[in-house]
Amino acid sequence: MSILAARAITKSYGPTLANDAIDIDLAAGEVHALLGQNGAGKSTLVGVLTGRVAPDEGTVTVGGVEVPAGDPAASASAGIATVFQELMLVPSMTGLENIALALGLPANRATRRRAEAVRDEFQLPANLDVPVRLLGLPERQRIELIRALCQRPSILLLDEPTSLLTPTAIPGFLAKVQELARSGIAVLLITHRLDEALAIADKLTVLRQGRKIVTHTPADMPSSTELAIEMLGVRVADHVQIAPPAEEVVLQVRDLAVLDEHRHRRVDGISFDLRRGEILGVAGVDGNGQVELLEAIVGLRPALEGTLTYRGSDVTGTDYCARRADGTQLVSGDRQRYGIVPTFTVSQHFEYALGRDVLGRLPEILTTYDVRPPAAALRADRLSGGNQQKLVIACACERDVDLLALAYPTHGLDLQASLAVRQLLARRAAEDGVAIVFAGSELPELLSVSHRVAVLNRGRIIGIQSRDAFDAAELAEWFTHTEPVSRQAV
Amino acid sequence: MALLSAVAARSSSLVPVTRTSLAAASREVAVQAAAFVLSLGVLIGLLALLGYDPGSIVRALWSGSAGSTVSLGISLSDAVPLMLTGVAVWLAAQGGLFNIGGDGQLQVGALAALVVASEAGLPDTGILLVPLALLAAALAGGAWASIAGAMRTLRGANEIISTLMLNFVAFITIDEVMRGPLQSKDNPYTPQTDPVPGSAQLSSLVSGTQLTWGFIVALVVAVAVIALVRTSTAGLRLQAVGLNRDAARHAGLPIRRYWFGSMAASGVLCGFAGGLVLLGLRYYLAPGWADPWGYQGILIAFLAMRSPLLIPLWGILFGMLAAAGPVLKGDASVPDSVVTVMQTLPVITLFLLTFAFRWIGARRAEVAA
Repeated sequence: MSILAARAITKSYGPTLANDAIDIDLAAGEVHALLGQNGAGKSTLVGVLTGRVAPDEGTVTVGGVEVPAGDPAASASAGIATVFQELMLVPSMTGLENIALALGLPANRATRRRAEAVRDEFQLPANLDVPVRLLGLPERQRIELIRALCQRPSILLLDEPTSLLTPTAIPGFLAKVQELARSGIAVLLITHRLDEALAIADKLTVLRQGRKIVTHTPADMPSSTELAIEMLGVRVADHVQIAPPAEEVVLQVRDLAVLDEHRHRRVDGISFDLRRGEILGVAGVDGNGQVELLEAIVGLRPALEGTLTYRGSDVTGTDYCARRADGTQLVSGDRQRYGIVPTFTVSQHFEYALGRDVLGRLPEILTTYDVRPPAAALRADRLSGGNQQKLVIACACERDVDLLALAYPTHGLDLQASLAVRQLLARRAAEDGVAIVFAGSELPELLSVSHRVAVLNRGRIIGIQSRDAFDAAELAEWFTHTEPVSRQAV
Repeated sequence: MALLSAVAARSSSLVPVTRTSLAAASREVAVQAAAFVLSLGVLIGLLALLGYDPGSIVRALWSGSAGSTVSLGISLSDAVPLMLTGVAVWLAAQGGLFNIGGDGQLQVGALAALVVASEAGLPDTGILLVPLALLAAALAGGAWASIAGAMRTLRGANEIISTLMLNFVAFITIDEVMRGPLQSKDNPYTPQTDPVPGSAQLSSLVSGTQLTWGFIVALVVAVAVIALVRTSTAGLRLQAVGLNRDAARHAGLPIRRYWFGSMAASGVLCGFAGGLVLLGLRYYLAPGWADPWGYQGILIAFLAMRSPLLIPLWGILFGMLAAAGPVLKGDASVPDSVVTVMQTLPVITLFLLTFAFRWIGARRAEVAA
């Protein structure tokens, strides 16, 4: 018996269809997992359910009564509470003050009794009397949970709740979530971690590119491989011609460990060799250390442990400026943040990145990289996303590089533009001997262009397959492994 | 369809881009001119409301700033430091830094110029003293700003705070120096220094006025710095650092070096301004010898942020307002604070006008859609 029913939720942002007629039902006492890659439409759906996003079409009913769209207060009074991915606590306030703030109550003894009742009932140990900035992330998250539960919700939405936790804290948290559901709350667990979803979910809904792919009931729980394939999508990869790499090793990575901003080990014990003209695909569910790995091997992020050897010399402590002068280049798919300089024209992007000499060849370059329109005087922030990405890649590649690291370079590109980028990379590898590390979220895309594909999970390489032995099903299965598999062909 | 849109995009991007940017530039200039005129109007209106005679205010404004060769000379020599501090603030802002320590850098520069011109025991010839004193002023201002630059690049200290605090260090130091080691022998009972020797004083540009050839130097330096930043690759990179630091880092630019360099260069300009003021206008240091040229430079830079070639022009206009101040006080008997109000009105008016134009533009776009 479902308590919340969403029907035909549709929401588009400009040309992007974020949610396409999505149905979902939540039942009391159940953990319902919502799975999908970044950009699959999970956050939009959560926004609609919490009233923060008004859908273009579709309705949400709780207990048979329709909830007014786009009204957070109405959703809250209908019994929907949310714990957001980025914890929404005021750092300088105590737990009690934060809870009082959310409930619109004074931080007095009555509020304390209410919060402490919830804390004890659900056994969520948390100190409510120190500023939350002094607390660890798991404790802050428990305060968020107390805050949500103080509203006595019938429906609890947890948006990527484990993304801030260390691996050791996750099982305990998941057990707690299951316990909350058993107490009669309908829990929606939004995640992109397959293993977590499979571990505790009673039902599973998979989103991909704004569409609902499937909802699994306890009767037809999938294997992790099936689930991974549903989440990642399996389509025939476009064929890209690649040439065999040379013998010479350009980059040698040994036992690399890297910390992220929260001082977690995001990359742990990674070793690989990269040869001239070789393309190494780095696969895995997003957020498993791919970006940190790339930043570390180009020198933008310090290595905590391990060594980097570039063309025979040790570059472990060398910073990115020096590494770049020596033929290393990083390209990010987050072009708004890392690529495009607001108000700069196309030619100014080339000039600042590569110097003035390149400007003479500009018309030719714009044609080669298929930047449309090929107008040097146009402001780059007025180009479409795909053309901005081609511009960023052109700015990065139009010089002598030996090592190219790309983080999600095809992010947000359509099929044709993505193919063009991959063909370009294959050509640079084959003709100029550039060694390329390519992190992507689409497995078929990586398979089409890589000599080898490594799967990352929780900052470790689970396994590496080489091109002649690609087994997409096995690779997808690796997405959920936490221990390296024995078959580590290098 | 796709072909059509591609052709349309291409044709609309090649030719009219220059036209739009020209139109944007001239609109910018028009808005700024309107802001200045409007703020004068508001000022006169305000004073009229307070019961002062509008006619005598306009006459005083005119005679004090441009009514005679002498008053025009005062206006232009007041513009000398303003043009340079305006460019200095604008330059640091290109890299994303906010130098509000122009006053301290200017005063340290003036002190260095004074020491070199009067105390260093150099041969008493202008050809030697003037360039050396100005060089010392520029270097001292640069060094003073470099403290804030180094604190920012090495330890991440906020440059707004550090440049502001360094102002007070500079003021207090100079105050001590003019009472202590550099106390004038001829006037031992008032805190002031001896004037720089006559050979180190800048010669006048127009006889009978206080305008020296320092004005030409300041104008040339200001325009040259702006042109250099706007046309060179290094200037473009500095702008990239200011506009999108993450992109600049991915493009391999040494961001800290750009920060340090732009801050030091900003200080060099302010110190140079201090040298020019000392050798061309004030000649000695005494309490209250300097107007808040550094702060006014911030106003000027913000007025002309998007069209920096207007900085010298705003410098001259601010100089005219400063020159008209005493006359306004004397002839139209308005209070002191009116002069301050006069300088800030253009800024407020410009912000309001820009906002209004943007709002109208948005409304128009809405109606069109």
